[in-house]
This record gives sequence, structure tokens and C-alpha cells, in this order.
Amino acid sequence: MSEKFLEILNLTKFYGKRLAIKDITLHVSGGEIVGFIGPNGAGKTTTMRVALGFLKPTSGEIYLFGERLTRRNVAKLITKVGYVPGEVNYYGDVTVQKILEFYASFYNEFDSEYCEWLCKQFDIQLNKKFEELSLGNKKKVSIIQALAHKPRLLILDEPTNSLDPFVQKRLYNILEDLKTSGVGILLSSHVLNEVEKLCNRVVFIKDGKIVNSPLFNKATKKITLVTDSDSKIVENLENLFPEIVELNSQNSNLLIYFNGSTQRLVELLNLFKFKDILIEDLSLEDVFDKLYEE
Amino acid sequence: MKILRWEIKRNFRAFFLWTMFIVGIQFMYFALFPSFAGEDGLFSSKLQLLPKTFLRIFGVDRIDFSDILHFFSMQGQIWIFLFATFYPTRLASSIFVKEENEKTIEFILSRPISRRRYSIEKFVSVTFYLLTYDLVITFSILGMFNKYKVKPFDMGLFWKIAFSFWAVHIFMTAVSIIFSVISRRKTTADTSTFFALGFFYVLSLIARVYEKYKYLRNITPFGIFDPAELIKDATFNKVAFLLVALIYLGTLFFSIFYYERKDIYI
Repeated sequence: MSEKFLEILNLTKFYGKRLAIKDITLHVSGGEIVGFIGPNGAGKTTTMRVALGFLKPTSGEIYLFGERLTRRNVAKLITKVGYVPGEVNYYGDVTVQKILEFYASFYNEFDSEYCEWLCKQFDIQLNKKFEELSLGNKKKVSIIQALAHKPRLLILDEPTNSLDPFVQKRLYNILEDLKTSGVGILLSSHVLNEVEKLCNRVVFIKDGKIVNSPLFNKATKKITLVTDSDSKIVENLENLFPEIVELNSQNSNLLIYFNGSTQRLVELLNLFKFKDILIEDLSLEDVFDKLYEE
Repeated sequence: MKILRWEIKRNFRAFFLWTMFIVGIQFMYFALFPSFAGEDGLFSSKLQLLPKTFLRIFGVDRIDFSDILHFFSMQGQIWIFLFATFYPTRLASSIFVKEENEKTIEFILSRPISRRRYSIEKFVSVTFYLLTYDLVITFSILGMFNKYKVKPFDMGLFWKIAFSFWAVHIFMTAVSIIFSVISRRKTTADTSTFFALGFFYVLSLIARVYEKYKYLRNITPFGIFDPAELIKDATFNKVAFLLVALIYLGTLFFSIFYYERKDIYI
């Protein structure tokens, strides 16, 4: 099993009397991308900031590369971490070139050629002052400064926000390559299909707490049926098929989330006389909608 | 030393402009000194027509206008003791909180630098500019003293006055650094600094004007290091100067202690 690069255990954070996150437990191992999903204000950024040592936890523990994070060792551990903030604010009156030079000066073995390669990949305008850049270009600079020192763990807070589709695609490719090379990535994003494509696992957060969805399983099918069948069949359905994760019926419409073999699915469908049927792979968007609809 | 170098580069322009401004103002005043000295009798007799309280506020109730030290203590208490304090205090009040206010702190703290080191380098950058600023001002004024004096002046007293305004600047800078460390918003740090500066200065004015509140001069640097008093009795409070230096050093330890534990909300 891969080494856990980031481990958050029972993390709780209060801002004064206001609870920001409660009992968060998650981990990111080397060679995986973990999606961190939740609506605005759910606690994603707070979790990331505590993990980076910007905020002290009210309770709970953070481990980076197996070592417990304290104010004494945060500078050492963070050397191997790259971070893209949700909102990029660097020195507005300084050129991108100078910002990147300042950034590079913190690392002893900085690979300038890799940094130049990244700048070319993202078409960075080095001679412009940071405040003159568009939001997308600011984001690109923040991505460069998260990647160029070759970190082993990446904490990305909405990294594709305001990037054009071409640059997004380039970033996805780089992240895929990094994952393959053993980098662990915690990715917060509102673009659910991006998370679905990239991530090995997804962690959902709602009102500051991790929420588990029994639905979220890549094998789960979403079956929408319009049927004339007897309602008694529907009543017994969940007893007959434990593979049904969730069942919703309304008049003649049935919505079934099914996690089982194709043969069992055929057996299930044989029970019905249906007028119409739609079988889909369950999307992350469906899960998100289910989790956050209340 | 990355933060220190970065801060020194970033703050050079403000340092240069403030230094030039203060030295320029002093140059203008000193250029006027020979006229003041030449018209000594006339000017002093005109001054006597003004209310005593007014004269005390500006510390001109016992001025000998033929002495360049007296002249400096009169105008210097406003320009060097009070106004020139604005630069180091503004620099100090923004030194920590500015990064949080402009949200650049995320960039810094996601780098491999401990908060202790960060605090020390920030503190040293303020100290560097504070000392350079005061050195440039002191030697510029000394040059002006030599250029515009109409009779020899007491060099020992000059240095006592110089160390007095250094003490005021150092003390107020220390207060401003504390505000910068503990505040979450730059406006809070700036306002608190401005209030503290005004508070200590007003205390010294009250002590100067009202005999029964004279004791207040012992709790404000503008009173303890009042150049008008120094001219009168030529006694420089070395203990207070040492105390100010210790307070300044204490600010460094406080900054480290507080900043290491501070939650960085952005």
C-alpha cells in the first residue's frame, strides 16, 4: 500500500465560537488524486489551510509524510508540498519573473529548467506585473509556483477556476503524469466532471463534516423506469434485491440506484412491464445533487 | 535572508522619499536659522507677546534664538520628534499585517520558512530602515548645524537630542510592530498606531502646559525625551533610553511568540 502523504485525523476547527469543520478525517496517499467536494463554505479551504499549518486545529491531528505537523516542523514538511490557493493574491506591483525568482529562492535544489518548461506549457507572461494579469493568468502563475519545486504532495484549491479549456486540459495531463510518478494530490473543485475524470477517490464535505454517500461507487447504475407494473412489486423490490442502494418511486416513475451484476440487473428488469427505460452510469453530479439537495 | 532582502527592496522607495522629505524640510528650516539668529532680540520680544500656554506647547518659552541647538529643539520637536516618527511607525504597523491584508501571506507561508525566521527577518528589515533613517537624518542635521551655526554649539548636547529622537522613534516603532503582529486588518494596525502616537504626544503637551500634570511627562517618550527640557537642564535619561532599547528587543520576542501561534485568516 502507498505511503500516506497527508493524513487528517478528527480535525475540528472553530473560528471563535463558529464551527468551521468538525471531525474531518481523510488521507491522500502517493500516486492518487483525491477529490474534495463540497459547496461554497462547506469547509474545504479551511481544511486545506489547517493542513498547511496556516491555521491551528482546535482539535485533531495532521500528518504530513508520516510526521505529525507542529509549528516547529511545518517549514521542513512543507518543502515537499505544493499549494494552489483558491484566490490568488501575490505581489501586485512585482513582475511575474521576480515573483518566480523570489519563490525559487526558498528551495535549495530548484530545477530552473522544469520551471521554464512549465512557464512555456502555461504560456506565462513573465515581464508583466502581477496586478496586470487576468484572473486566469494569475491562476497559471499560482500553478507554476505549486509545481516547479517538484513537490510530493499537491494541495489544489479549485485550480482550474478561471482557466480556459485548453489550459485546463494541459493541467489535467500534468496532474495525470504527476500521479503516475507517485505524487499525491488533494483536489478541491466545483467542476464535477473534472473530478470524476481525474480522481481515484472522492471525499464529500457538507456543513463542515465529511459525508459518506453509499451511492458513490463507479459501478453503480442509475435506472429510470416508466412502468405499468403493480405497486406491490415495488414494495418488495428492496427485499428481493439487496443490490438496490436506493429506490424512489413516484406514480409510474421509478428511480433505482443499483450496484450489482448485469445478470441481477436483467432479473430485476424482468419483473417490470416498462414503457420506457434509461440505464446510466452514476455520475458524480448525481451523487452531488443527492447529497446537497436538502 | 530571503524575506529580509525582499522587504528591503520593496520598502526602499518609501524610505527614500520619507528621508528626502524630512531632510529637505530640515534644510529649509536651517536655511532660515541665520535670519532668526540675527533678529534674536526682535524675534524673542515678539514671542513674548504670545500667550504663555502657546509658548509652552511649542517649547519656545525659554529659547535662545542665537543658539542653533535651541532653534533645532523648537522646530525639531514637531518635525523630527513627531512628524518624522510617521515613517518608521507606518512601516512597522504594516510589516506583518500587510501580508495578511493583501493575502500574500499564503504565498509566503506555503514556502519552507518557519514563522520564527519570518518574524525575525521582518523585524530586522524594520530595524534596518529605522536605524538607517535615523542615521541619515542625524548626520544630515549635523551637517546643517555646521553649515548654518552662527556660534559654536555643544556637541554633547547635540548627541543627547539625537539620541532622544532616536528613542522616540524606536519606542513608537516597537508599539507599531506589536499592533502589526496582533491585528488582522491593516486599517486596525494603522489606526491603533496613529492613536498611540497622538495619545503619547498629547500626554506630553498636557504635561508641558499644566504644572499639576507635569508627572505625565514620565509616561510618554515625548515627555521623557522632550528636547525643550533637555536644552534647559542638559540631562539625558540614560535609563529610559536603555529601557526603550529593551522594550524594542522585547518586541522581537513578542512578535516571534505571538506570530508562531497566530491563526492566519485570509
